[in-house]
Amino acid sequence: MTIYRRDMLKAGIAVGAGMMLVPASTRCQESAANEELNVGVIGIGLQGRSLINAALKMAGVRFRAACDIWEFSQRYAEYYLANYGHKVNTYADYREMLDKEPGLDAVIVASPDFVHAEQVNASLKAGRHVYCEPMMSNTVDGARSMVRTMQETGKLLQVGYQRRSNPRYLHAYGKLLQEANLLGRIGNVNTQWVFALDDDRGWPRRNVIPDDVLRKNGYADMRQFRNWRWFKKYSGGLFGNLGGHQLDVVNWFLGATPTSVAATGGGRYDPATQWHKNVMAMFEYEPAQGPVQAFCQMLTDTRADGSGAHERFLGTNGSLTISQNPRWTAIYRDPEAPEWDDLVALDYLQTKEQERVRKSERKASDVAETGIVETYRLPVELDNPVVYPHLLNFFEAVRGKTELNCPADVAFRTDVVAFKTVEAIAARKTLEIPSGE
Amino acid sequence: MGTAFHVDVVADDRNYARQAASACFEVLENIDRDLSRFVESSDISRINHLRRGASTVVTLHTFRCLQVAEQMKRETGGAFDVAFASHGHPRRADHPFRGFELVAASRSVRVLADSLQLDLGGIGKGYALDVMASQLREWDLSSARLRASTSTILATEPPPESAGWPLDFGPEHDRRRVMLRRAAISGSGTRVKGHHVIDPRSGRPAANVVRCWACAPTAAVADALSTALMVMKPDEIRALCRRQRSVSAFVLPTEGSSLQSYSGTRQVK
Repeated sequence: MTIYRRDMLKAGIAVGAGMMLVPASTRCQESAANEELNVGVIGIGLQGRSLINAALKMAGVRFRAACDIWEFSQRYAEYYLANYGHKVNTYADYREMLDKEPGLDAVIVASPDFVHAEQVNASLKAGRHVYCEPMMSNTVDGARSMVRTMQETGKLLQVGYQRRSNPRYLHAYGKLLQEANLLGRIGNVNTQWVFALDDDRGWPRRNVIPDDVLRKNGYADMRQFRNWRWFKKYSGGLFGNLGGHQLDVVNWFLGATPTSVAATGGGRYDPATQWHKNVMAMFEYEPAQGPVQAFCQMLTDTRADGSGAHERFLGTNGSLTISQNPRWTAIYRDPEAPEWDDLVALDYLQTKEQERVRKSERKASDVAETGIVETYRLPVELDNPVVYPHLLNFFEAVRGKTELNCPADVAFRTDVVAFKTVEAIAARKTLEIPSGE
Repeated sequence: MGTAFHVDVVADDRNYARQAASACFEVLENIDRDLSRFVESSDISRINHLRRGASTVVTLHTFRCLQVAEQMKRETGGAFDVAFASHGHPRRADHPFRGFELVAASRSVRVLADSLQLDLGGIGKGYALDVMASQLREWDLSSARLRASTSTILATEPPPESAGWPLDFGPEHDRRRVMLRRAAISGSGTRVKGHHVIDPRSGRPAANVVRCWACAPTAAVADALSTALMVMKPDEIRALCRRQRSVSAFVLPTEGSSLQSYSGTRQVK
């Protein structure tokens, strides 16, 4: 039986064991009585704004302070949040924000990678819980220091590998892979993130940051400030920034980190100072179920390849292609694999009626035809921005209601692999990844 | 939004203009993510999943676009209604359907009907053009023409030594030329998608006209109005243009007939 979300809401029926369709908006209403959390945000660029928008949808989150070295962004935050009745104080220096805002419970860090370590460590030491965008840092030492500070202070540090809280991914991991062993033995994983490079990001002429302010904050000039993700000085690498999200899913779903990496990377800019624009990396895993090879590619030539960003797991019983975009999510059953009808009955999977084949025909022996690969869908929707569940998980953990889905020590294992991939590209050979990290 | 957007901008620096246009497209992506009913995690999808009485906070773009939509619903006497697809819509002009309300203090949307289905296809493109134009103003680029496919076009200040951005519209046998400045023009019709515009007041496809164009100070209003014109009666159009002096309407009742103009205004000469 297929239960459609609308029907469920109307009927008000309980959520079944296999369903994770409780709309976030309902959860939001349920937590209306939550204690109010005072929040500051450091870094009000694209991702910072996205996180602000997600947090504004949550009951009991009150923005009190916003920090960015760009006055233009400070004004944006002040204006935007005022529309929602949040009066914030704005700062150019995060240290001043931490000093003058003793009432903050939590800080969201969405600044460039190279300042994450100092901003996160200072916030944790000042007694605030922190949500930090990945990568954790542009250096492995910086990332390691964040794990240590989290452990020493006892404060929470959630790293924004947001797929860890996405209900579609949680369903695939918990119900399909862990509980039902849907794919059988997984032998191969491939991930891809395909997008198109745009022009360098610019800025309105009248909103230039003075040179002395840029230099004081570590930036060479306005262009590098606006395009920091491309420069080795500020960023842990585009592969880590984007592909890291996917590496994290592979690590999570396999329950392991890779033992080795071989990779190649290309770029059309100066390779000495700027990051690779295309990366292809191969990883070897040795999880308990048996060896797995993974191939991860990040390509920047076009966004018109029709399949966007996804992770694909191939096992003896079929394959799972999963993405933040439901359009690119699908599950295929191998013709020789056991039936999945029981999983459909449990609402662990959905299948389109038109794709069903009559069982009598399917069970008949026919050597003249190739077996039919059936397509299934995940019966899970996310009716909020993709950053919402992970940020909500953080705030609920701050309230003591749950555990973090991606604490810094877990994210660190992913970041180590991303850093090792960059080393492998430079070394042009296969590198071992020590398990000790 | 399922259509191609174009930005033409007058600037003294090509690279600066390209970067400004890129900033516009970045904003456009965000708006699409908020307003598209085809995006699972959009504000509109979330609203469409809410039960009667429930509410949700939305982004400022969603809130403002819905504000304009509500204003246009009032102005057109219900001929434009972003909730037209809702199950249970009464389809009666004397019984206006109120599917949601906007709560300004929290920038949220409260659902007032069962099975509310919002569809911003008749206003979202125009709203996006307005926001993109304001983005260009922030970059001190005052002269630009922004297009959502060929259906909605917004002009800011004209190019140097020009009265406006030239634009032709109308049927082949009755072409009109507009020198567009600080205004938008939007067209609707049956030639590409057939009779696809539903009259919210009757539930039936529009049959009054085959093509129409609306000119207004903003692209959102022009976009919404061009949809409404497809189902409005001549008296209603005349009354609307009388009330809103900045609005012009052009209607082609049948292929081959002459273009009917309502209320010549400052934008159209």
